[in-house]
This record gives sequence, structure tokens and C-alpha cells, in this order.
Amino acid sequence: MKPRTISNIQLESLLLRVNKPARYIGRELHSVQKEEIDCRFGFAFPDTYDIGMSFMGMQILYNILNTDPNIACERVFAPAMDMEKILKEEKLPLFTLETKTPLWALDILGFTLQYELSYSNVLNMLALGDIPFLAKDRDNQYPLLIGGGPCAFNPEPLADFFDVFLIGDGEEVTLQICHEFIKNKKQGGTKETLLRALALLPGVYVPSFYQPEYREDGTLVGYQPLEEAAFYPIKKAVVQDLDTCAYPKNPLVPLTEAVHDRAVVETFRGCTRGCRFCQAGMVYRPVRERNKETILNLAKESLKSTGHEELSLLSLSTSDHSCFEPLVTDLMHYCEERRISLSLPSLRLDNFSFQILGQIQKVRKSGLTFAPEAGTQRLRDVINKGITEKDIMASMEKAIRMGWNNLKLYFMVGLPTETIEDLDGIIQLTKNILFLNREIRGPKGSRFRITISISNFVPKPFTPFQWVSQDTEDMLRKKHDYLKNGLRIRQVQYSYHDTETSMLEAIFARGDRRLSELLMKAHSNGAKMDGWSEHFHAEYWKKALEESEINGSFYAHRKRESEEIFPWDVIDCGVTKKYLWNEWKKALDEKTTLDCRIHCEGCGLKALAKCNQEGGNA
Amino acid sequence: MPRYVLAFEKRGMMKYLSHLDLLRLFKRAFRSAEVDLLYTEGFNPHPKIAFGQPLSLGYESLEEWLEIETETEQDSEIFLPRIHQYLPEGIKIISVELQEPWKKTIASSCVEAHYQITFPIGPCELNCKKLATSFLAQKEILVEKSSKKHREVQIVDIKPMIRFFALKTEEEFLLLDTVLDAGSVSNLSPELLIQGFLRFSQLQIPRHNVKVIRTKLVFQNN
Repeated sequence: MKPRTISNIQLESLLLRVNKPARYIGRELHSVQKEEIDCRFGFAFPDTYDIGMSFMGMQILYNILNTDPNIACERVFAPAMDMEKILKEEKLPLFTLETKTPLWALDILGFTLQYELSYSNVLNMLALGDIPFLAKDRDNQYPLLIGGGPCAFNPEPLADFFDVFLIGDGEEVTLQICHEFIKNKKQGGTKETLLRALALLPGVYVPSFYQPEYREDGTLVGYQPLEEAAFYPIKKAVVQDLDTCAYPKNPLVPLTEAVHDRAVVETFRGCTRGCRFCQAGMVYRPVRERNKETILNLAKESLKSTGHEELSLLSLSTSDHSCFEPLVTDLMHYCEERRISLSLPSLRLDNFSFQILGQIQKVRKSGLTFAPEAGTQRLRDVINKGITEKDIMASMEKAIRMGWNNLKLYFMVGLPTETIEDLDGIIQLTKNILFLNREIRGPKGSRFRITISISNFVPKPFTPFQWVSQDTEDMLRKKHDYLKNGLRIRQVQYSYHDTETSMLEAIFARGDRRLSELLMKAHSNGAKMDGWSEHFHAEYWKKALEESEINGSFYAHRKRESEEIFPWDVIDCGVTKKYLWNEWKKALDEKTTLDCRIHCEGCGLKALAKCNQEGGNA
Repeated sequence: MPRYVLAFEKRGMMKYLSHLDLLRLFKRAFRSAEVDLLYTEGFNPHPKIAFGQPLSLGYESLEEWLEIETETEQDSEIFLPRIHQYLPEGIKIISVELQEPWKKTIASSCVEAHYQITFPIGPCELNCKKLATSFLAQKEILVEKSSKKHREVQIVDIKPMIRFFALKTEEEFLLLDTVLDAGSVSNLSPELLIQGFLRFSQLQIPRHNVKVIRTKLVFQNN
């Protein structure tokens, strides 16, 4: 029999040979080791420790699961390339950080699916953990494989690999899944009996209970249910009250530097803005807030227990919290007295925000980022970005007057209906800001820099743009070149995102079950760490596309018809397809939709969850 | 301002923490335990924390030293035991002392370091005494030293920096007890000694199977 844990001697023989070995030892402050328990749950983040340890979702579930005395939640990250090589040389399996349990010996292995480019790492981690890829090849001697996170809203490209997907908020259902697992084990049940029980839980999708059927043109006819418990569609799980929902006061403290080493408090979930390109803004509805007092207490407790010197607030749009001003004022005083820096991401740059930013960046104005997303008012209306040219210029003027020298502006290219005028708009806006700086500060403004950062639009499921075609790589490259030429200006720095990975994201974002073949081929060609430009190899994927006879354009570049059945139609995220189609039509008419707090557009969510927004009762 | 000297252990898995990681870890622990650290002046103030002598990644230590300055005199309970709830297993404070102001900083007064180095040699007969004597009887002990500054490999004689060297075997291990120069005046990294010794003894042991424990640091005050 294979040993169910890696010994200390084996572990130590690895650690002196790899970079940053502290990533593999576990034993962080607030980590939990449990010996005898009923359910050993591995939380897998398909990227390296430095990235995964900055992810709050892991901290939340780690805390909830480990509070249950019968469950142990342990972590596993993708090993860096050097560690992977040595594991293979020594014929040792990938293991969890807490008890050094090989992945195959876990009871449940749960992957968080945060971005499509991490899918190759999911397979790679399974391979390193001695777990067969395909769900049908695994009996209950192997861990139950579950997937969650934003990408699980279209789980189909990974449906052949996972036993179960958890759609929506994981706080309550993850625990229920573990309890069902324990019950089934004690009753001597099989994998089938377990899956049938799990299918009854909210937000749980068991892909093997559904058989997709395709037309000759490759589009989906629909799903054939194979089991009685195969509900259609699967409603996402919603935590209705965030304020009473468990949130870690003793988060894990990374032993070695993570991307973000800081205490984080989630202030609210969901967003009322309705930007049409944004999947999170659609699928995380309704808005649910934590009370100001709860947030303050969580912040104080987690700062105290970790000793972090930075605090950050987490939400989709920080300044939209209903008590934002008093909350931030209190936090700012608390932090200032204790030499803690306060970080406020995704701020809308109104007067109050500037006042706050001016205070918290008093000494060193580290830089200001701003996301107009599109270069003209017309296109910003198409995407429902909800800011005007006047807003932008007023914010920029304020920033310049207050002394910021580094402004960073985010834009997307390849947005639906985009023309050359919209690209010119980006260039013109940049020039206008430079001109403004010169007017206000004269020769003193010579240290001023603007960074223009361009990403490529990727159409996402459950957005009004789920029907549109992505620009081809060729089109995107031409647009990048056009901007590059236009932005050859002193004081302007221009950066853009790789086109090959954007197409890959688009393929998987709206992919179906047939892509499992592609992913397996890419893995066997060597694809992994696709999100790291130094590790991404386009040729692995090109070869995999040829070998699996999959036409990437079918997924990325094809414009969908209004009545097309989508692979993700098996999921109900609360927002209706009818609402999304109307939003798409409005986008084409360049008409904007108001913030949910002002007017309810009737997205359909109220049928699934309680929504407390002001805007009417539609 | 009050200055404290703390002795601590770095054991078990914590040996894989880098120097910088350890510094961060202590900063956080002091913050949690509400130690009233003194900060430097200037645009980017940082707390006054200094280590006696950096410990290489991969080494355990039974006695490391740390010096801090605080705004006010601290209740000694803070360090022992209160801070331990904020330290991971393997990092343990063993003593705290309020330093007299006239004393030099620990970093500048460190002179020697004691190490125990373990080589897995398997079941073989070895005359330790003879090996040690002949190793030390060399006129020079030359090793290759790669330095970041010079970019090329230098050949250095480490013999004058070895203060004590004794070998013994225990089961299938060869144990080396050694005392080496340490500090700002003269400093010898055990890595160079291991390299020189492995070459001389012709033991075929990969570096990652050699264990190093620092057992003591010696300071000389004026």
C-alpha cells in the first residue's frame, strides 16, 4: 500500500533544493493540523503559494471548515517549476501543507476556479497528486473532486473531470457537502449514493447526471437528464445575510512574502452598477453588506491577530458601501494611530475619495489608478460604464492639483461595436490629461507620468455580451499597434496584454464539455502556469487544438443567435437570459441602464434571492 | 531609549524561513503583542529591529539574537510569554534582557559562532580523530567562494577562521562540532567549511543531506 503521508525525511530531502522552501512547509500562524477526523478536505488553489495565499475565499472556507471538529481543511498550491521537477525525480506525490497528505489520499479535494488560465494547473496538480483526470475513472477510493469560484458559473469545460460543482456562495454549502460525505461514509455508501445526496443541496451541480446533445453545426440542443435528482437549471447558492456569516478573525499569515501581505475585510458582495462586460457584477447579485460595526470589529481583530501592517477592504466597488464615509473615516483614524496603511482598491474618484486618498497617501503619493475602460462616451455607454468625459477630466484635474505624479489608466480593446474612433478616443484622452497637467503645473509638471494599460475584452457567460464574438488575434494586434503608435508620447508609458492568452480565456469562458479533450491534450504537451508569461507556450495549445480537432474560433469568435442554448444554461445565476438580451439590445442602441439603487430594471434576481435595493419593485 | 536583547530558537520547519521572512515575522509579532517599538525618522519609517548575525536558510539554531529599541520601557511579560501566541511553532523566545546603553550593538560585537554539522555517512568505519587531525594539518584549506560583488569565483584559505574542529560518529552519522569566526571583522560561512571538508574527506554526500545547527553565538563587548 502507498503511504498516506509524506515523511519528514522525504520532505526535508526536497526543501533544501528548491527556491523559497517556506512555501511548502505549512505551519503558518493560525494554520490547523488535525490527526483523526472524519473528513479531510483539501483546498486547492491552482497557482503558486504567493498568489493563493492572498486569496480571501480560501481563508473564509479554511476558517469555516476547521471550526467543525470532525473536518480538517488543508491547503495545497501549484508547486513552482523547480519543486515539480524534484517531486517527479523523487517519485513523490503532491501533498497538502498541513499534514503532508498526498492528494489521492484526501476525502474531498476542492479547487477554486478563479481564472480560465489556471485550468491547465488543475490537471497538472491532479497528475502530480496521483489522481485520474476523468470523474468516471475514479471510484470512492479517490477523493471527491469539487470545483467552485467564479469560473464554476460555466463549469462545462471541466465537467468531465469534476464530480461536483458548487455554484455561488460557498460558506454554507461546502460544510453541507462535507457532512453529506461523512454520512455517506458511515452508512457505507458508494460514490453514486453520495452524488445523489449532494445533488439535492443548493447550488450543487453534478455534471455526470446530465448528457449534453449537440447539433451538426456544433451548437447545443440541450441536456438530457440521466438521474431523477438532475434538476434543471441549478440555482446558485446565496448567503442571504453577510453580516452574520462567518468571517475569519484569525486568518493564516503567510510565512514568506505573498502578493498581498495584509488583513482584508470583505465589506459587501455584489454590485449595483451593471457594467455590461462584468461577470462578477451580474453573478454576485444581490448586493449584501456587512454592517459598519461588524467591519470595524473584523478589521481590528484580524489586524491584532496577524500583526499585518496593511489593511484592505474587499468588494467590487469599495466606495459603494452605504456607510462608506463614516466607515473609512473611522478606519483611517484607527490605522493612522497604529502605523497601519489602509488600502482602498476599486474606488470611484469622487470628492470624498480624493479627500481620503490625500490623507492616506500623505507622504508618498504612490500612484492613482483609474478605469475608464473605453476611450469615447459612446463606447462607455455601450458597456454601461456610467462615467462621463466630464467625470474623468474632473478626477484627473483633482489628482494633478493634489500632486499625484503617476496616473494609471485602464482600458479594454475589442469591446463590442468598437471602431477606430474609440481607439483615437484613448489617445485623445491621454493627450488631454497631459495638456491639463502642463496648464496646471507648468514646467513643474515634468515629472508627471501616465501609464496606459490595455487589456483585451473577453466575452463572459452571464453578461449582456455573452452573444458577441471576440476580436481575432490579428484584429487585436492591429489595435495594439495603432495605440502604440498613437501613444508614442513623452511621459506616457503604454502596456498591453498578450493576445494568445486572451483567446484561450475566451475559448474556455464560453466553452462546453468537448473542451476536456483539448485541456488533456494541452496538459500532455506540457501546458501549465499559463497565466505566467514566462511559462506560457502558445505552441502547446496550437498543437492541442489540432490534435483534438477543436476549432477555437467556434468558441471565441462566433457571434451567437438570440435563441442559442448555451452550455451554462444549466446554471441559474439569478439574472435572466431575457434581461441580459435586453441589456445587449440597449448596448447596441448606446442606451445606458441606471444603477440598481436608483431604478430596478428587473434582472430577475428577486425570484431567487432577497434584494434590498431602492429602485422600485419591478 | 530602552534597548532589549532577545534570545530565541529557530527550530524544526522554521529553518526554511529566510532572513527577510524572519524579520517580517518578528515585526508582525511585536505589532500583535503591542510592543512599543521605536521607529526611524524620515519618509519611510521602519521599526528598529536588528539581528545579531544572519542565519542561512536551512539552518536550525538553538540560540539566535535580536535587538530592538522601544519608545518606553516594556513590561517583560510582553516577550515572555505573551508574544508566543503570535509566533509559529519553532520560533521561541528564550530570554529577554534590558541592555545597558553603553554596550555596543549585538551585530557589531559578534565574534564567533558554534555549529553542529551532521553528515549521513551510512554504515562505514571512520577514524574520526585521524580525519580531523589530517584535515587541520593541511597548510592551507582552500575553497571556492562565489561572491555577488566580484561575480567570479575566488579561492580563499579558510584555515585561519576555524577556531575549533572535532569529529565523532554516532550510528550512521558523522557529527562535526566546530567554532568559526563570525561577525563584521572576520566571518566564515559553514557552507565553505562543508565544501572544503567534503572534498578533503572524499565523502560522497549531496549538500542537501547535510544538516547544520547553530548552537551558540559569542559576543565580545569592548
